[in-house]
Order: sequence, then C-alpha cells, then structure tokens
Amino acid sequence: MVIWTLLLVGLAAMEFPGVFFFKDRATPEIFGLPFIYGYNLLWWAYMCAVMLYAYLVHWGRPATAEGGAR
Amino acid sequence: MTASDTGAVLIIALFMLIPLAMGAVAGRKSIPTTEDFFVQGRGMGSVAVFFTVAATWWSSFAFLGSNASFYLQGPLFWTALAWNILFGLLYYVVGKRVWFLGKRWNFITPKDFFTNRYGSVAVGNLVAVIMLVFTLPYLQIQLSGGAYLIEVASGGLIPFAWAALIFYVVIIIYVWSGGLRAVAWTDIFYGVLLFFGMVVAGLLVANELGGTVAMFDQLAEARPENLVLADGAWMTWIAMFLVTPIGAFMGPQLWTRMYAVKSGRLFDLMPFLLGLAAVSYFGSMLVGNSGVLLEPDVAEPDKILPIMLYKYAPYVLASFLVACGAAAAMSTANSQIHSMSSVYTLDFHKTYINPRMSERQLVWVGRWTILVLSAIAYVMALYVPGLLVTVGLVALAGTAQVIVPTAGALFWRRSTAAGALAGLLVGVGTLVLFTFVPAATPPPFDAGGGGLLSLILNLVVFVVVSLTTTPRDETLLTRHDEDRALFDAEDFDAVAEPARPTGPADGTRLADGTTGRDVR
Repeated sequence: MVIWTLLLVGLAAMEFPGVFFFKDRATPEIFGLPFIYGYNLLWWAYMCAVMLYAYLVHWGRPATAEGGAR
Repeated sequence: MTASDTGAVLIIALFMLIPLAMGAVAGRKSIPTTEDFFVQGRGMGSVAVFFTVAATWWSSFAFLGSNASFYLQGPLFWTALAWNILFGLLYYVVGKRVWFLGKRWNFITPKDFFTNRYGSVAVGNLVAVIMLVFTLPYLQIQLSGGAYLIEVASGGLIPFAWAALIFYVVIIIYVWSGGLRAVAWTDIFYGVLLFFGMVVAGLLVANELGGTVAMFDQLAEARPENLVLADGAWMTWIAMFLVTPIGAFMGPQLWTRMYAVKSGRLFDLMPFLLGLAAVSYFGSMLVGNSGVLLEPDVAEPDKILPIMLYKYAPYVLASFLVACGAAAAMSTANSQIHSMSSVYTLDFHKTYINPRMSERQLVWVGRWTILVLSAIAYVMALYVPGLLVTVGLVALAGTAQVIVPTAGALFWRRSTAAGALAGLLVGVGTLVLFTFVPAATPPPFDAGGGGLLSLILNLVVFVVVSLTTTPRDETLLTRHDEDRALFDAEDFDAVAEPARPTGPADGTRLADGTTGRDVR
C-alpha cells in the first residue's frame, strides 16, 4: 500500500502540476533545463527509485507463514 | 548517388542482414507447432523478454515521431517519461495476471483470454477484430518510419515506395523462418541499438550548439515559446499519457509477450527496467529542440532526425544511428506482423475456415498471413498520409479500448460479456466518429482528447451494462475465484503443467459454442 501510494503520488506529480500550474514557465531552470523538463526528470528519477525499492522488497508477493515478506 | 550515400545505404543494409542471419538460426531451433511458432513454447527467458518488450514498445513513434513532436510542439512529448512508467506498471499489474492465466489455461491469442473469462466467443471475436484493424495503422507507421530513414540515407535516390518495400521484405523473411524466437532474438540486437542510438543522436546534435544547456539558452532567445506547453495542450498531454501506454500494452504483440514469458518473477522487475529505459527520450528531446535552431524549415518533420544526422555528424556514425532508427521500426513491425498473424490464423482461420488443420498446416497459414498483412500495411503507407505520431495515436486509442474488458475480467466479478461487448462497440464507434469527424468531439476533449473520451465512454457503458445484465455463469465465476486465489498465493507451480482441454482437441465446437481451446 505504501509503495502504491508513493507511485500514485509520483505519477500525479508528473502529470498534473506541470501542465496545469507551471505550463507557461520556462524558469527556474533545473540542471540547465527549462522548468518542465527538469521538473519531470526529477520525478522520473523518484519513480525509478520507488520501483527499484518495490522490486527489492518483493512487492506484491504474499506474506510467509511467519508474517514476513517472502 | 554519391559515395557517401552508397556507404550509408550499405551500412543500413548490413544492419538488416544481421537479423536475417539470426532468423535463420532461430528457424533451425524452432519446431513446427503453433505454440512454438506463436509463443515460443512459453519458454522466453528474462533477457529476451526485457529487450523484446522494450524494442516492441519503442517504435517509429518513439524514435522518429518523438523528435518531430519536440520539434513542432515543444515539451508536449515529455509526458513520455510518465507514460513509460505507466506502461511498466501495467506490465506488472495486468501482465503478470494475464501471463498466469495464459499458462494455466494454455492461451495463445488474446481471444483465448476473453472467451475463457467471459464464456463468450463474441467478446473474443470482437477483441480480435479490434486488434487486427487498429494494429494495421500502427504497423503502417513503422513502415513509413523505416522508409523515411532509407530515403534520406540514400540522398533521395531510393524513393519512399521502394525503401518501404525493401524494409518489409527483410522482416517477412525472418519472421517467416523463425516465428517468435526469431523476433525475440533480433529484438535483443535491436533493443541495444535503439537505446544507445536515441541517446547518442541527441547528444551529438546538441553538441553542434555547444551542449544541452547552451542549446536551451539559444532556444530561449530565438524561440521561447518552444520551451513551454502551448495553450490547451494539457488535454493532449494527459490523453497521450493514458492512451499511448494502454494502447501499446493492449496490442496483440504485447499479449504474445505476456504469454511467452517463462518465469513470473520477471514481471516484478519490469516496471523499474522499463521506467529506467525512458531516459532514452532525453536524446529525442535534444534532437527535436536542436532542430528548431539548426533546421527550422524542415517540410516533413518526421525526417528531422536523419536530416540533421547526415548534415551534422560523420556519415558513418550518422548511418549507424539511422540504422538504430530502422531497428526501432523493424523491432515493432516484426512483432506486430507476427502477432497479427497468430490472431488471424488461430482465431479465425482455424476456428471458422478449417478446424481440422494440422499444426504444421497452421504454421504455414500463419506465414502466408504475415505476407498478406504486410502487403496491406505497405499499401496503407503509400496512400494514407499523416504524421507518425498522429496516425499512431489513433491506432493506439483503438487497441486501448481492450483494457476495459481486460481489467473487468481480472478484477471485477460483476463484469459481464454484454457489458464488454457494449463498451467496446461504443468506445470504438465513438473513436471512429471523433477521428473522421473531429468537429463531433466535445470540448475540452476536442484538443487532442478524442481517444481518451472514447475510452471513458467505453468504461461507463461497460459498468452500466454489466450492472444491468445477468452476472456471468457460476462456473465461470468459480473458475475466476480459483484462479485468483492461486495467483494471490503465488502458487505458480499450479501452472507448471497447463490445464488440459476438456473439449475436442481439433477445435470443433462444444455445446456452449466455444472450442476445446477456448474453455478448459
């Protein structure tokens, strides 16, 4: 549930604020890129980190009989 | 043709011969059964799965169309970072379940899934028709993309029509010989080329303007409007984010890549791998934006990448990168042709024309189907105009309609065949209407959101009709519950030996109107 919340937050952040609130802003630049490019690139990195974490903690797999992650 | 043009064409030709050789080797390993030809005996390993999914997912739409979009529309295509992640998540959430059911019930085509889950041949047939009809234009843009590259590389001496023909002959030969095994092997080769090709091409071109930061500084001076989204672009941005990955994911070529996977564990890693691979769009972004400054008056924006490469890079390197673009088109086209062939052969030819065909005969029908479908796409490439991204989005919006009954079958017990049929008909019908009569699209969807609106209408009709019609048969619901319990427990050993048919193995019809392959 925590992982899915993190993922949904990331997807929403990539799709909505940039296009609704900052769509006509090229500044501030991020890593020398116009705002929307840099902004989405940062969220992309965040999403990759969450998905790697999800894989490493065996997301989606049922708990073992002892109650821990399998 | 100059010496440089000849050299460029030879380099591209070399990259076309390598997959031919791989196809020949794959052909020797194949056995003449439909399961081997169409889903590689469900034994595709991890490396092959990642590269064949990624290479199939990245197409001319991504390699060429993205450059044109950045060139014409500024950051609009940057929503691709998010849709790549959504594609990966779909592969994990939906794909793993489809894989599990495919292995358990021995599915080969998407129709098998729908007939088995809804107990309705009509739903399966409608899905198969939608997939065939809407994959054709997507196949067409791969052909157009590949032909653009050869045309530019040859300095215009190989015209578009001949370039497209050469392109397709190569694909037909190796898909014909090796089936899915040949496609997957060549996709490993293509996938690596693609990833590095997109990134290197971008860095190379941006370097002409002093690097990424300097290029954007110059763009801010010369064309500041290219650094921000245009008014009203929000609808296209969101529609592309949803329709593109869902449409690509629901294409028959991706269904094949769900069924063929050997181990379910790979699905857990795919979102990360596919998400990470989205960094390659950084290259397209650099090419498109650099093009605004370096080549502001290109008449056919889909050609911006090869035009700039041949102008600003050494021709050997440019030809290598153009070959990467050809790889993008080929790796998607080969998969589409192959999967469309399986849909026609198994879902229509075997079911309605000759149910008593042997396995060997079916493989031959599949091969001839490859030839015919390719010919149709070739004719479409010659006579149906449009930007790669524009044609691609219509095709993707069509296959995206299939996500609604797919999700219903997997996650909603109350979904019904009537709901699935009604939803699909409304979704596809409105999509056709919005495509051919754009004025019929109501605001705010008229700003590039017609495909998204048709998908929403499909969903609404699906839910309403499902709730007002008789629930699925108890046998189907029991099967649904048992399968779900096995999946939730990750009892993948239960699918080590697929359930055997309870119906006639030759495909003749059972009392419920389905075939032995349809319902187990």
